[in-house]
Amino acid sequence: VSRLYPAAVLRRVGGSTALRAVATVALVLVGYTYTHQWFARFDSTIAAHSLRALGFHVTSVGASGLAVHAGKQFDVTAIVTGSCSSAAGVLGLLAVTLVLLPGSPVRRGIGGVVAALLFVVCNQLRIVSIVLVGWWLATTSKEDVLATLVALAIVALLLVVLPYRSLAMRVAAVVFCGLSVILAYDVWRGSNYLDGMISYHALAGPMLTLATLAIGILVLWRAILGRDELKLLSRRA
Amino acid sequence: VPPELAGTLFNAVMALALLLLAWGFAQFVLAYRWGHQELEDALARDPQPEGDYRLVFLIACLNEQEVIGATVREARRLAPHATVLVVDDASDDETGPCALAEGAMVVRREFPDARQGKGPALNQGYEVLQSLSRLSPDGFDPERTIVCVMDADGRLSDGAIPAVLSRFDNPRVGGVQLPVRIRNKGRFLCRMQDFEFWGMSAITQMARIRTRSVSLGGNGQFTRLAALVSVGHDPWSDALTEDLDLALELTLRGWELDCAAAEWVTQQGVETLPALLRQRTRWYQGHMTCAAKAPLLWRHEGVARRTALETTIYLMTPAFVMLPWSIAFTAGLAFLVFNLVVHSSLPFDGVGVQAGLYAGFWYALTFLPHVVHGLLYAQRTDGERVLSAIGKAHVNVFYAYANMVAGWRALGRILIGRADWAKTKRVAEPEQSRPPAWLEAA
Repeated sequence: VSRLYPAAVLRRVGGSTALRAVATVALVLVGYTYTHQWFARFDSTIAAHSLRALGFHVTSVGASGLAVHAGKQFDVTAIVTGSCSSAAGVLGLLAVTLVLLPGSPVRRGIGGVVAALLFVVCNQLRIVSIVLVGWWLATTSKEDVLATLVALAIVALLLVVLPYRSLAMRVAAVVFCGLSVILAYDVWRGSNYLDGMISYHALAGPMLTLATLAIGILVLWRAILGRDELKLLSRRA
Repeated sequence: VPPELAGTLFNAVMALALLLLAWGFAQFVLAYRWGHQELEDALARDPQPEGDYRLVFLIACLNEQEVIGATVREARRLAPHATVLVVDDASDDETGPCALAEGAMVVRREFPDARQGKGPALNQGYEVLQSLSRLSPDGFDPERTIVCVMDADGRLSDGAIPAVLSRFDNPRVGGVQLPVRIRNKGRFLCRMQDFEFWGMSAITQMARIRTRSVSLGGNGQFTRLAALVSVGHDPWSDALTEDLDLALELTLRGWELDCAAAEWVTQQGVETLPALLRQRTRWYQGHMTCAAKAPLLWRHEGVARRTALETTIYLMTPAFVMLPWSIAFTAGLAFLVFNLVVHSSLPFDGVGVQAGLYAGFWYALTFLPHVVHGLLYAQRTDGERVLSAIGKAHVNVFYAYANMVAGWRALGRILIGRADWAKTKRVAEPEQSRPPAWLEAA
């Protein structure tokens, strides 16, 4: 029976390390459930300001929606949903910072805050870029859009196949190439700008979110290490 | 459950999946970059050790007559001056005589001390090694004596010994691990293990050269005698993964752990799924138990932060990444497949997203890292075709379920307090399985 005492069980499953891991997972799940709507409203408000700064006419729709107008050709209603918001990234990065990783609290704190801010900024860029892509598709001639997308896809493809490119660049180029091809296909078959926005949202959105989150995690790790240790890491053995 | 709450919970699980995926992706990018660079450097070198080292092979055996003779013979071929010390853990078969016939020094453990696990058997060998040192006229120089722990079925590559010994020229290095390859590749399960070890784990190990936190394994594990002495009387614990435990103990004492990236050690893969699950359950149970030592790494001033961070991340991988990922990935996959089959679009937060596009996104994220490793695997493996490696990379995503199942089983065993040792059985290798002629005559 003593084997099943909580303290004994905890010790066997890896002590505080296991507890930290479970607490991190729980914090992300519970935190997301209770805060995603707040994050959606927050992101929607910031995105509205950003789009107004870019010259769009923006009005709020509901709790986290935006009605964006730019002349007769472009008129969309966008909703910043919970999964579109910064909730997952910010909560994930903060949970990892505050609960999971050991080490100096100051280093972790700085890294966590920088990573979370970076994530919020990149998420804003992502939301705004969806509207900008839609606006570009709506206001530019079909021939020009097709020519631009095909040219971008070819350049990206060259970056993939040419030697002496880093892995990160190749991966980014593969994604960019795929995205350009899909958008070009949408335009070629006559889909409207709303379909293009959905394609872009479906593909580029999650990829940008993931990439930003991965960069945030790297930023956090770097902050924990500090400059001296980073120099040692960059040196080949 | 109200549909709205169910949707929110599902999105929360997907948020967690995204975090875990990004965590894994960040690790993959670093591992690939550093591992690839270290491999290139190692391949460009022709390493020769500067120092004059004494090498001792330490092989713990239990019923290994099928393979031990060839292992000893091969070790003596590669290092004729080395001492080969076989610890026979009360085998029922002819393990001891087979090893003796090939020139090994054999120590036999008897009950009630025998069969307590690999760690205690290795400690017995270590004790004998220290006795040999005391009996030797000059004693063994602990800084220049290297102990190589091998599995009974282990075979070193031809250039392994100079490559490993040259890594010990750095006096801070306490241990060096060789990447592992699988030798019996007749069955698909074994080929997948080779892909896992040589294609993925090996690159990660090479990357860990940078953080000086290479994980020690039970086969092809080289340690400096001085490092073992610093750990204490019994360097190998009775933990289920005594190799990982030793790596942590060495790290805590300020030793660096290194890897000879261009060489390897081969071993037998397990040939059936139940055997694989049994083996992995033991590994994960040991791994999770060892995670309790992670906080200690941050309290010792002698441990570099990069070593502590990488080791901590490695130790928390089963609890933080693998087990939650097994749920999140399965839920996401089921959701995706259901919507692909039943609907043409995903009801994703009210936005009708083309299921095909979304499937493409998940495919790229899930399979791309494996495919990159697969291409590298094809490059490094004689006779491996690129298409076959890419195929294995795809299978590997689902093969990982074996590890996930083992991880959950390990957790279950930990919770109910079971910690018995399930030894991996070897299979006979026809050309090496015969006992020596004199034994057959007898």
